Parts: sequence; C-alpha cells; structure tokens
Amino acid sequence: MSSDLLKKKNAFVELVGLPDLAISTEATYVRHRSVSDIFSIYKDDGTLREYFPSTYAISHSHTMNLHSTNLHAIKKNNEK
Amino acid sequence: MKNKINVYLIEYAINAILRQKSKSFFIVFVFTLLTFLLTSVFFITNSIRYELDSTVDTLPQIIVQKIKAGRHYDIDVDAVDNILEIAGVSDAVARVWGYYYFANAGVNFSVVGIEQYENQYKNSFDKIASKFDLSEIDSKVSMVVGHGVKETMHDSYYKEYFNFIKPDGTLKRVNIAGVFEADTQLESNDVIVMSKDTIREIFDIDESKATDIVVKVANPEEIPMVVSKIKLIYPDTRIISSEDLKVSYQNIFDYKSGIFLALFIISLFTFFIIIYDKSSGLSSEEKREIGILKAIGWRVDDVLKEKFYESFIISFFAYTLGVGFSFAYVYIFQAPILQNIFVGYSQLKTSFELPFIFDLQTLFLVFFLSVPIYIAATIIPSWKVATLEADEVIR
Repeated sequence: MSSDLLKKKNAFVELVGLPDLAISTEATYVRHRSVSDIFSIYKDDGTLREYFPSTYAISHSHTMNLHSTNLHAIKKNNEK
Repeated sequence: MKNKINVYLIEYAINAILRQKSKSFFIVFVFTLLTFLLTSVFFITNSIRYELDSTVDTLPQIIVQKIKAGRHYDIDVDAVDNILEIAGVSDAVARVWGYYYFANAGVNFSVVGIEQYENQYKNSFDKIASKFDLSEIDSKVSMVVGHGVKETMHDSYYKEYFNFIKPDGTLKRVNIAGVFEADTQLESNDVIVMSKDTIREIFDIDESKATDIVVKVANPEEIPMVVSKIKLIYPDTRIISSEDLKVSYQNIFDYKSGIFLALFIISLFTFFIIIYDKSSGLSSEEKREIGILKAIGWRVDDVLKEKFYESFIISFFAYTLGVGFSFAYVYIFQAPILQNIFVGYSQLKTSFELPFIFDLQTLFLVFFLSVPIYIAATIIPSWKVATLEADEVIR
C-alpha cells in the first residue's frame, strides 16, 4: 500500500471515527463489529440462529463479553 | 563425493512420475487444489487484517456507549461535560451516527454526523473526496457519500440529491455534495457523512441526546485509568478503548468456527485420503519395481533417494503451482467467488481491492503441513518393501 493511499485512508478514518471495514454491510453487528456485541442477534429473538452468511467468516468482537471468549488474559497482557 | 546429488536418480524419478501419468496427474491436481484453497483464504484474511491494522491508530481512543435494557441506547449530551472534568481528558465529543435502511435497494447506509463543516474537516474532505463543491456545502443541506452509496442512489435515479424518509413519514432532501474517492472504498463504501443537525432531523434525535461519546486522552498511558473513572461515573455505559479495538481487529476471523472450521476439516480429510492411499501399502506393480531395482543392484538408500526425489518433485511442483495460482487469483483477479464468503449477501457490494502482502508465514505453514507429510507417506512404505529380500518381493 502506498503511503499516499495510507494517508487518505487514515484521513477518512479520522474524519468518520468508526472502526471496521465496509466489506459486509449486511447487519449492523457485522458492519461495525468492534462496537457491537455478540448478543446483538439475541435482541431480535432469543431462538434465532445466525442468518447472515458473513458471520460464518467474520467473528464477533472479542472485546465485549470477555467471559464467553476467555480473552481476559490477552486483554490484561495488552494493558500491561 | 558421497552426498552429491545423483542426476540419474532424478532422471529416473521424473520418468517414474511420467510413467504413471494418470495417477501423478490426479495427485498433482488434488494437491494443487488443496494448497490453492488454503493459501487463497489465508491471503484474503491477511490482506483484510492488514487493511484494518493500517488505520487502527487513527481511531478514537475511547468510545462511550450507553446500554439500557441490554440494548445500545442514546446517551445524554450532558455527560460530555462530566467526562471533560476527569483529569487527563483533553477532549470529549458527542457523536451522532446510525444506519439508514434504504428499502428501495434493500441496503443499509452508515450515516455519520460531523460538526457543521469546520475548517479542519474541509481540509480532509479536500484530500479524500472528489467532485466536491465547497460553496454548495455552505449554502445547502448536503452530504458526502461513499462510492457504493452513490452507485446505489444512481440506480434509483437519485443523482443530485437524496430523499431521506424521516420517522414521521415526511421527506428530507439532502444534496450530494461529493463522493469519497474510490481508493478508500473498503472503508467508505457505505458511509454517508453529513452535518449533525441534518442527522438529528432525519433520525429524530433530540438535541440533548447523542449516539456515543468519543474521548481523547492526552497521554495514552492514562487511558485505562480514564476508562475506569468514566465507568464509575456512568455505570450503565460500555466503554471501548483503542486497545479493545486492536484486540477486536486481531480476532476478526475466528479460525475455530464457522467457515474456517469447515474448510480446515475438509482440507485435512482430503489430504489424509491421499496420505492413506499412499501409506496403506504399495501396489504390487510398485513393489515389483522396487524388487527389480534391488535385483539389478540398487541399494536400499538408492531406492529411498529415488522415492524421495519422486515425491519431492511431485509435491513441491503441486505446492508451487497452488501458491502461484492463489497469488494470481487473490491479487490479480481479486478473489472472485471466495470473497463472497466475506461479503455475505449484503447488497452494497464493495469491489475488493486487497493490498498485496507477501506473507511468508502462510507459505511456510501450508508448505510444512503438506510437502513433508506427503514425502514421508511415500518413503515409509517404500522403505518397508526395500528392506525385504529382492526375490521375496518379485515373487
């Protein structure tokens, strides 16, 4: 990636201030997965299964719901 | 010299491969397909992660969201003042953003509000937006849209402006003042940027409410402390720090489940079918061949060397072919079909322009998972046969 392109991308991200890429825009919790949580789908219906194909590849954000992902240790290490 | 590579053995090995044309072709075909599929998926995921990581440092340091009854909820703008009083906080801004569902095309736009076109924004707009008319932005209600948004609007014959439907059913006409450059498409494809006032009007958000609050901390070391202080003042909030975003970016692809698990299982099984076929014993023809070679005076290590060359040539050739194909497929053709795994069926398609990453780790990983195992699976049964007496084998 050229530095010019990188500057443009950074300028855009700085302007908008939202994380994640516009690869999949199917659902809000896929589009901005970093500011979403894994219970998003539960809001619609507790018995629903994932119905967006991209969620089979794109994982939920591991920063929320730390208990469900055993990532305490990673996060603590990063903070240190 | 004893260790010198014996050219005649290599020649014999190549001839042995060519003698069994259909079998060699089948092995090369499956082997190539396997390495191609695995490396392609790894290449795509690596590029996407690289794309994410290249902008992670420009993201806000702290994002404060309000959670009510388990859902994301509008936060009070007053909270900004309280957050600004925390020591170490240099700036806090209430943001307004959301998703607009355009029913006619069945797509979601991400609508982001910024302060009414301040000078700093004008500069960055100059950098990243084309077809941009400054005078229009000052005079009329207008927006800057991503490439995908523009296309979608064009398809519905909105060329100069777009009519947003407000919650009460009335229309809000917003002019298209500019389009974000195609270079930033992976980030900007579905984004609409307009002034906060317009967004408040479209989504009917009260002046005293905001979607979330972005906090800037002068010293990055103090972020965890500021986070805990905000959490103390507002226990009902969810706070995402830049560190969280990094963790989130690292784990965007869950290799332990979903499509990746399916892919790995299938690859592994396919590969083990080849290995099983090879190691479950040689065919009587191959046994006879080894027997004859021994009878005419080849030693055990000559036979094994020949088998090594044979399996190395075939597996390394297939591996290089697979990797070469996947380089071309991912970086020249931008991974048609496979990219749909990541896009899903969102209507607002991004044209994938994946940055080129030469990822040695992936290449080594796939290499060591395939080539040595294949060589071992060829040599071990040959060794079993070669150590037997020649007349025993031929008979």
